[in-house]
Amino acid sequence: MQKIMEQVQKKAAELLQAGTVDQVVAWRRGQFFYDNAPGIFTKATGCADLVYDEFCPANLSKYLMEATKKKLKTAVFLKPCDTYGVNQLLKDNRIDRKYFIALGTPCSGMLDIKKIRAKGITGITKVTAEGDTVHVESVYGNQDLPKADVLLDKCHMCKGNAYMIADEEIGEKLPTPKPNPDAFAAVKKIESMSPAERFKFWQHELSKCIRCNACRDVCPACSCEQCIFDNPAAPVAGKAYADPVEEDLFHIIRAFHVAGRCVGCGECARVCPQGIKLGLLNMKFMKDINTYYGTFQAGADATTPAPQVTFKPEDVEPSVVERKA
Amino acid sequence: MYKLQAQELPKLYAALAEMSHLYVPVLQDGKTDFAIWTKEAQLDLQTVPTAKSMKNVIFPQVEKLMDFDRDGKKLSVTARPLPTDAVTVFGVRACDVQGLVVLDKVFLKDPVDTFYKARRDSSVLIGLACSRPAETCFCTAVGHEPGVPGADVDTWLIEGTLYWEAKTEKGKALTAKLDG
Repeated sequence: MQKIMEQVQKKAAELLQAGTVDQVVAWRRGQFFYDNAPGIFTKATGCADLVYDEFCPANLSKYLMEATKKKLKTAVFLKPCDTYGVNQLLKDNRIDRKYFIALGTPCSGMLDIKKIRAKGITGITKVTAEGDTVHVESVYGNQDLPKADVLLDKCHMCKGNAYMIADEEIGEKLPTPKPNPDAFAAVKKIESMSPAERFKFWQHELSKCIRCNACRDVCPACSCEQCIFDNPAAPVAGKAYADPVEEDLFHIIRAFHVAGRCVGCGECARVCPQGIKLGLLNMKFMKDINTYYGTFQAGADATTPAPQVTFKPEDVEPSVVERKA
Repeated sequence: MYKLQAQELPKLYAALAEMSHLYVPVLQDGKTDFAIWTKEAQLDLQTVPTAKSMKNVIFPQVEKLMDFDRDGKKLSVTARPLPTDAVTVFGVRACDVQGLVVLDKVFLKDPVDTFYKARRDSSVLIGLACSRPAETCFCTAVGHEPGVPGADVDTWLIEGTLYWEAKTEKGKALTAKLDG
């Protein structure tokens, strides 16, 4: 990863130095090694702060919206899974192709510091990955962990190392984590619950919501310029858990809103400070779309219309959906 | 200073829960926060700091302060009774205590927040010294001492033994009650 990071830094500096782009969207070193955050770089000299390692999970595709609005030529580093978001934003006319250069950036899975801590390791000072093993250094000693145990949840849904959009690729593609054999196993588990159990499950999950809107803000499919939930005059912005219906509706409406456009990047669940399994709602929609309209992957390209916005005579009618299933 | 073996702690919790609403750091859904102690609760004294401070115990985010009753054109307002139930919080860290010092400056000054004051008065805080602060901790940088929580009772959990020292009148009263 060190070598790839150097290539990423070099590429960013070159593009800025040559004036090919106005800005580079990449990952900036955080205060701690595990909290790298999206960063916008405008000077070649600033690229020393640019970081790329196993703690750069952020999907940067949505930053292209601001770049398009400001008409700034932008280079953006995209992991394979992030490229789906870019295609979706293109399809939704939220970003303009002429304002960005997509740089495919190899990834072999991002790590979850929370999962490492959950192994009982505290005072962690350094984490490096090598093959299937993760070396954890802490002020209280060192430890090796199996990488699969500490991968981010979203990396267990890895769609592979192919870029859906890339003007240029940095380095060689890396082997990706083995995805779950059944991507919809978790959804099937919830489907098999009784309505009462299912209600209880979601009531518990969604009651944790503090309405910080992080899931919405990070989502490459949730890209309305004016969001209905940003209305201070409407009683939908409460952060306190006073009315459970509000949180429930927020997430259900959002899931409907992005149905057929959700690329399954898993960012919503990753950024949730409350650990709500938000991706499950979207996965349920994806599963149903696959079942009723044929397998579809949003963001695989920037042109194919989603099944929800097209009509085919053989489409299932809402009333016969159950029968066909 | 009292000494208690760690395996005796459940007895302590049970005794405290007997005489008050007992809050402890509980691991739930992958996060540790202060919650009501139950025999089944997964106690977590290792995680420092908790996801949220213990502020919620004294100053809940949502609270019913009064009831409105409308009878035709008549509107009557009834204040809810003050929360005076005895509360004990175990596992309070030095930073939690400092957080309350700041809140006190706001809510105990004129005009006094009566609900806050009632909760503050009716609660006893049992501090727990930090032995393994997180890399994100910075209390020493702002002049606090993680090894001395500064609560009503301060405790230290060292190698399977809990050391207990009452620091305030409230803490001494609680200790006497437990002793009896």
